[in-house]
Amino acid sequence: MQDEKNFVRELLDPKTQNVAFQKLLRDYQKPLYHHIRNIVLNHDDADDVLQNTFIKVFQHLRNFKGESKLFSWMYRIATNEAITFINQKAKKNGITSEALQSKIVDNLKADEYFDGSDIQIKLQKAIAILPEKQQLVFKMKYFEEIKYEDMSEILGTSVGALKASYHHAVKKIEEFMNSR
Amino acid sequence: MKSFKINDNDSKIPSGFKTPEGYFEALESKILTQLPSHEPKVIAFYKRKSTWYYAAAAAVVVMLSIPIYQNFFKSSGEVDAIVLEDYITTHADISAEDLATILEEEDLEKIKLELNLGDEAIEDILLNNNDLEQYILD
Repeated sequence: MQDEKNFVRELLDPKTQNVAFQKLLRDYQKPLYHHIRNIVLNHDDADDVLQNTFIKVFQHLRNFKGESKLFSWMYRIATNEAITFINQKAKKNGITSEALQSKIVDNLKADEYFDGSDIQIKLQKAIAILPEKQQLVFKMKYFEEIKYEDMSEILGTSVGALKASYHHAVKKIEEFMNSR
Repeated sequence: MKSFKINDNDSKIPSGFKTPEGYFEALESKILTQLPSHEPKVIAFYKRKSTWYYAAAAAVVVMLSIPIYQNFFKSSGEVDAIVLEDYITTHADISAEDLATILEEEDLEKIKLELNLGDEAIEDILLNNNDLEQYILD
């Protein structure tokens, strides 16, 4: 915790800020990219959202009070940016965000930055039929292997509720995967 | 056929997403060039809060000093009575007779009231004043 406090101090000090922020970029660009990509599905969209996320992190660093871990705070920003992006894209297309995600998943095979097998496509289709919150919880637990305690800090939901959400998501996905 | 189980670690399914070649290597510089610079924000003089605070303080100082100024430079037509009396008695080359001529009836009445001499005191003054005959003749 003290290391993190020192790191945040370095991020806020103009003399050490550039070096500290480069370290932050290097440490978090991949996990944040994958987190965002799991939500928005498309690489170009994930790239846009990731850049916006880091810029927001930089701009709001002085507001970070240390009440949660730095990475939880960054993940929260990334999640909000990704969900906002999806909702805005869906609105522009005149459809719901669920419908948009289903549409993208249906076209995954044609996506040059997706090299998944049929079962991977099927799993993405199974996830796409879940409610938005369940999708998020499932992806964070299954693909990103985020601990429930950390997920609770990121999403602002109790560990109990997250476990229940994941359990329901797993049941529905298994039903889908085993039915066709 | 074995049914699909999510929690079966042997059959963990990756997401299938991939990134372009060299994406993460180029990302750092892409983001760093977009960050706001550290140039100090230039705020117009009249928009600065401090300008208004100083202006308010200056207005208060000016308002408070107006009565002080007026009091300090007040040219009073009136001269302090004690100062005048002292001047007349110590400096002015003016006799009691001249004063009696200059002063108005009401001023003399005022002096009489202020002096508030009893009859005995008046008699005493008259008896001791050698110019009494002269005053009667005048």
